[in-house]
Amino acid sequence: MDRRIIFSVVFCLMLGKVAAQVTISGYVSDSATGERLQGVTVIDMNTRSGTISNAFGFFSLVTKPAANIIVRFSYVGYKTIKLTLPARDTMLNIALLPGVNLEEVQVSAEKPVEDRTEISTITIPVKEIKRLPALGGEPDIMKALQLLPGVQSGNEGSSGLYVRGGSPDQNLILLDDVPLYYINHLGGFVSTFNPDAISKVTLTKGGFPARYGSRLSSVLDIRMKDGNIKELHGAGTFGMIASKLALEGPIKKDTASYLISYRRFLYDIFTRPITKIVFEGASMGYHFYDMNAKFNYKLNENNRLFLSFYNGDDRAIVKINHKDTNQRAKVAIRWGNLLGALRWNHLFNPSLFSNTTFTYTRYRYQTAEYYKQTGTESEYTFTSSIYDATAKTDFEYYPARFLTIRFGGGATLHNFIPTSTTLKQDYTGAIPVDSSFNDDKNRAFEHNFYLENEINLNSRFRANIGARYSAYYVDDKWFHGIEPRLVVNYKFARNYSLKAAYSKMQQYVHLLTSSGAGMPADYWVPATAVLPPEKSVQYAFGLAHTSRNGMFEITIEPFHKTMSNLIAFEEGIAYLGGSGNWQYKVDGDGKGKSYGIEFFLQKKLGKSTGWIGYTLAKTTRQFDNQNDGKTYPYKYDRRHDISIVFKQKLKENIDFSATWVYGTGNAMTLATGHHLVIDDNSSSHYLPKTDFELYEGHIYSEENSYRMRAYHRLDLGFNFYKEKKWGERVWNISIYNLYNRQNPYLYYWHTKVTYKNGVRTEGTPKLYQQSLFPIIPSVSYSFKF
Amino acid sequence: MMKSFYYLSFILFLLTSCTKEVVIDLPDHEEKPVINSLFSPDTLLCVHVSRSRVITDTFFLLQTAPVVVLKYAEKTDTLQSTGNGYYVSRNHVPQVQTMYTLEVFSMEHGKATASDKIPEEAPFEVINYMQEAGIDVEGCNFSSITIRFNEPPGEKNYYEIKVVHESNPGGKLRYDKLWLWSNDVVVRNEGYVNEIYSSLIFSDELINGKSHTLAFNFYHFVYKKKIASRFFIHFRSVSENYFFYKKKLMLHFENQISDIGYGTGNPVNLYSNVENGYGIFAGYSEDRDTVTVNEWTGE
Repeated sequence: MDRRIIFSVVFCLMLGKVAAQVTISGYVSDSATGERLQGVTVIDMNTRSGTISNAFGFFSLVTKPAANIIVRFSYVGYKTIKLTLPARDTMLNIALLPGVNLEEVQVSAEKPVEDRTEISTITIPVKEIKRLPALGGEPDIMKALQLLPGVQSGNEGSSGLYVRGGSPDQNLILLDDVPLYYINHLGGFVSTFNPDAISKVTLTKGGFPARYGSRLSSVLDIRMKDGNIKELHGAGTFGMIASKLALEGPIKKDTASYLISYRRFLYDIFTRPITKIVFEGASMGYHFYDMNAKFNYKLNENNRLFLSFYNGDDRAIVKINHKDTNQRAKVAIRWGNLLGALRWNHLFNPSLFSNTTFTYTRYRYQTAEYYKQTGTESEYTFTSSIYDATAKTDFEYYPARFLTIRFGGGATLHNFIPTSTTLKQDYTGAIPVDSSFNDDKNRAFEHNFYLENEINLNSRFRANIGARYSAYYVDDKWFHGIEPRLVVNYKFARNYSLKAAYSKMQQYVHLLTSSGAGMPADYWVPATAVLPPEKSVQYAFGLAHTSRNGMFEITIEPFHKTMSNLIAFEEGIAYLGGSGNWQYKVDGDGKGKSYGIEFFLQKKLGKSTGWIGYTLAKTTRQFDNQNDGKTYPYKYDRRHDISIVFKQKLKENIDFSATWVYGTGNAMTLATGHHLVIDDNSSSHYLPKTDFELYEGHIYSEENSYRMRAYHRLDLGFNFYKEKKWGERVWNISIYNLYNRQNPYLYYWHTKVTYKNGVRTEGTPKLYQQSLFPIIPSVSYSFKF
Repeated sequence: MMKSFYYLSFILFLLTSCTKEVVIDLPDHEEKPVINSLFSPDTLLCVHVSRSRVITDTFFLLQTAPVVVLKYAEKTDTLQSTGNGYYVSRNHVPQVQTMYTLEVFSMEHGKATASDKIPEEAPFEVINYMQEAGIDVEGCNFSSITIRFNEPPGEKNYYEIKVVHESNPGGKLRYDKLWLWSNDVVVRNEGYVNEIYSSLIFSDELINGKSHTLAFNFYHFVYKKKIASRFFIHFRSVSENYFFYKKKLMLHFENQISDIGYGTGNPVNLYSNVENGYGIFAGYSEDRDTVTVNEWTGE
């Protein structure tokens, strides 16, 4: 009875608040390009209540009625505007004028960090990424994210993301709302994201809103540009790693636009003809490419369609055509993603916005060998792939000035082919071989619903309370999960707030990464009855502060995360090379723990900008059948991780930037003892059996119980801008590893052997460190018109 | 001009100095006896005995008391030392499907024991030899041999294939063990195949009780020199201990390789069936066939 009374009182109070309000809603865009702007702060200057435009530039500000409502729109890099509006519901299309405060760094959203509900979330505009030093002159989104606290890079030069002790498969990487399964080119040195096609990148490391799910450790939300709806523009780059071209423009001015970009690694264009001459008919080449396309069409004020497309591949091909011997052969390895998305924005009324999305995404890894000669023909293919088709809809509802409700749901059909092998052989005089072995095509169905309430009770207390329900069907078995999410922000003093978050996450796909020393291969496999879904629970806390003049922003965030049902190849298995029950070649009982504290200090205004990030953390793993069941440090566990980023506008047309990174050395397993091992009785059956082939086998330490030397590196970058009649050109000069630090990539034991007067002398084994990248200068030329 | 030379030399120095010696503190190593023996019904029992050492020491020899062989737990033989750690039986040839136990005594390290038996021989036949079966990614021709065997139903069986090439260059017989690879799914299913190995090892997981035709590849450069030669194909039926040992040994060696181009693999611990020690004591039986290569008449 008491509960009913309390509920009635609260409901009446809320109704009272809802009754006396007006709604100012609409879209915010860039006046020059027509591109919708995400993250614009919209504030009622009378009540100081405000909101932020969503990923599609839509905002809805519910406020108190007043004789004159003064609304301010602000966004870093754009001129702030104020409008005086009458006290009634109003729909607006706001175009912000760019060109103000361009030298300011834009690492965070525009609202002061202590006023934002979210925690552990960082947004980086792509133009800031382009100002950073770049390996090989190729700006890289993932490498910029690696400079943030709580994010590790893995091996040197890699584009991998290890967020708060998670592995790369635990990152939900969304390109225009579509999950991407593989994000690397060139063995991980370049990511698949072409900065010319990207508008905004947001990384969430903890305190996940309920609208996100399916991964344990992070959400990387990458938005492609919509395309300039006003006029034709283009941009291009000639770099040492890749060259690229992007075009965007209106199909119908102010109604429909397009964006098309293409990036390619070009060296194979030269290596193919050269190798054909050198190797007598054998042409060899490797390349990667990324193709992005997007079309957007404004049906009317309330409806808009977006069509996004991405295709990226790595391809290594050897072709042999010996005309004199009539031999033809081809060996090809390719891996990459294909995705498409159709999205429909619909505005039901000024308070209810929806986005409905249909997506398709595919990752596949394939090796193919073909050989033909007179009397002989053979073909071998190996494929590992995953295909997803998803339909989902998301709603944003603004019922009252203190409340934003987000809700929605979706369904995904997963198709997994962990391994598929086909072998055909037809030799004259022999029985033809035609065999195909496939893992059963695993079909899995996943669906989810979520409800998220963003509450701004007053100027001090904000919260995002929600929950996500997900279900997964595979092998005639259902898995269910309820994932509560909570973020609370309490502003205890002017410019200071305390935050706390709780997230429970569930993941229905696993990644197996080959553990051998050979060609790296990734296998995406489903959660099954044998290998149940991965789960995590993360607690995060935060202290947020912005200096009074807005110059500095600081966050301090402790976190604690536990993970379960992690998988790894069982010892002695390095690849999924064939068929059969792959599930039984995997250990699926892994547990992980990660905890630490992150410090992030940014200087946001002035000619000199940048940030310092520091992470103190510990990450472990434990599998019952590995390392004798003992807990061990994760390979990329780093006790200390520091990033310093400095940017300076030297002149009106010259930018300078420097980054310095430091990290505790990677954990490694080291051979501490050794003994003789037999490989075979003898090199030939005719030799006496007492002539064994004996080699040295290693006795390893406990897993990852040793540390490599610390990693540190300084990179510099200069951008030289020049206005031209046709647009602008930029020369970028970058120097990677300026002081030529020999950072460890791997350690190995080696025994030096010397010969003197025909006598062989073997030294004692010594430990050596192999480094990868010395100092590397690079240059690139970019243009835009 | 000289200035440019110095600058160039400096840059080259920076770009090439990528390896350096490092010093690291190692824990005390607990030495243990090491037994190495792969035994078959074709020969007298032979064992190599040594000891494990800290990684920086390479003196492996171990002073032991006699090495004893037990047959079904009954002492049946004492092996004789022939020097350099080898111990050989004077007259004992192991039998198939008989459980043997080896006991090695050392004053310093106590007793180490290991047991295993030899599985039944598995017959096979060579059904095809292709001199030019394909071209690899570097444009080199490779050859292929196809074999067929009947896999007996029932208990789990394990196999190994190795090939020895006999040639006669310059009138002197020469034997080379060939490095093999196969795209056959039965081999690839084992999850270790990514490179070429000195033998192929696999189980009957996918072919239990069936007849199976298996092709494997190897490089064979001699035929281009028009030298007559032979291949000895060894088809081994191996014990479970042998199988696990060899499989892990392949990955163990592969991941010892420090190669920037290939990257680094996770270290793989060696398999051992030796109690209170390291190493392997495992049995196998083998069937052999020979392929004689006719003189090549091509280029």
